[in-house]
Amino acid sequence: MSESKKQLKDLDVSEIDKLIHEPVRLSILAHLYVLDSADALFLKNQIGLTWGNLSTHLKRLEEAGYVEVIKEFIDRKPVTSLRLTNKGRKALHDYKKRMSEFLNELPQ
Amino acid sequence: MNDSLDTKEIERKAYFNYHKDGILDIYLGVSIAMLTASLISPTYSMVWMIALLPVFYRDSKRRYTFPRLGYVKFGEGTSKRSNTLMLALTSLSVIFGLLVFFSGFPDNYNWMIPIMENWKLAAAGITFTVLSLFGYVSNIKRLYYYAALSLVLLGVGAIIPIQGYIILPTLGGLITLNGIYHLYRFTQEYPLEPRPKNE
Repeated sequence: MSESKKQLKDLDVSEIDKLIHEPVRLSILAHLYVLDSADALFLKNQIGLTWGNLSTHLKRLEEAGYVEVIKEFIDRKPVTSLRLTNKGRKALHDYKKRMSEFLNELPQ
Repeated sequence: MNDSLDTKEIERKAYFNYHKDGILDIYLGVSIAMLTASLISPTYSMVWMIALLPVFYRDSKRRYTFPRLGYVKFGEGTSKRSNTLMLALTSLSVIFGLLVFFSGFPDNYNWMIPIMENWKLAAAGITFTVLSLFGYVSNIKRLYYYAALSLVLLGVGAIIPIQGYIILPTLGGLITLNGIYHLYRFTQEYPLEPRPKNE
């Protein structure tokens, strides 16, 4: 077995966070990673999702503790914003690291 | 779904969409037009009224942008960028304000005379620099076009005998009209829609 194939075999794919690996959830986390906070409408418009699709994925991210819902008043109007938690930020960093390791080991 | 996951691109696109409404252009155009009033009548300077524009700007964003595009708070880097934009706009009005103020004392400020006599060239330099800086900091490309437009209009105005006080309102008016056009397109692209009850 070649060295690169052996290294590839040694990598445990199960360590990749499947909750983040889903493209829509990854996109939501990536948006909240660069923005301080945003409401659901902004995320829906930026990513191009339907309300139903967005709320399903947001619910899963919130349950995992990756995203928090903040109720705040902006110009005396209530706004429900979403923000990436420290846990979510760390999970995204770990995911990026694991994926980079995995992809770097793929033979050319 | 938008497939781009480049974080820099995500931030750039979010900031671009936030300013896609043309509200910034409308207030920028109005500011430039208001500067003209100061040049026409230095004793009744409207330069200081520009200080009120951020309040109206914020209110317009709240009325038109947030209900359609959604609410967003940018990270520290982008917030600094927005503050630089505000600083640039304030600098523009302060520079014009000082020019107008000192022009009232030509005997004591002889160095002002050549500037005031060639105010179109001075204004071309100032508006080109500030609008270019505006475009560079914000990454909003149409501000570069406004900078070029100001250079052309004020430069041409300095060469051919056009009534001076027509140029700045023309520049401000064109920028405002473009802003209104962008606002119209924005409202068509992002119509008001009912939010889900649990949101």
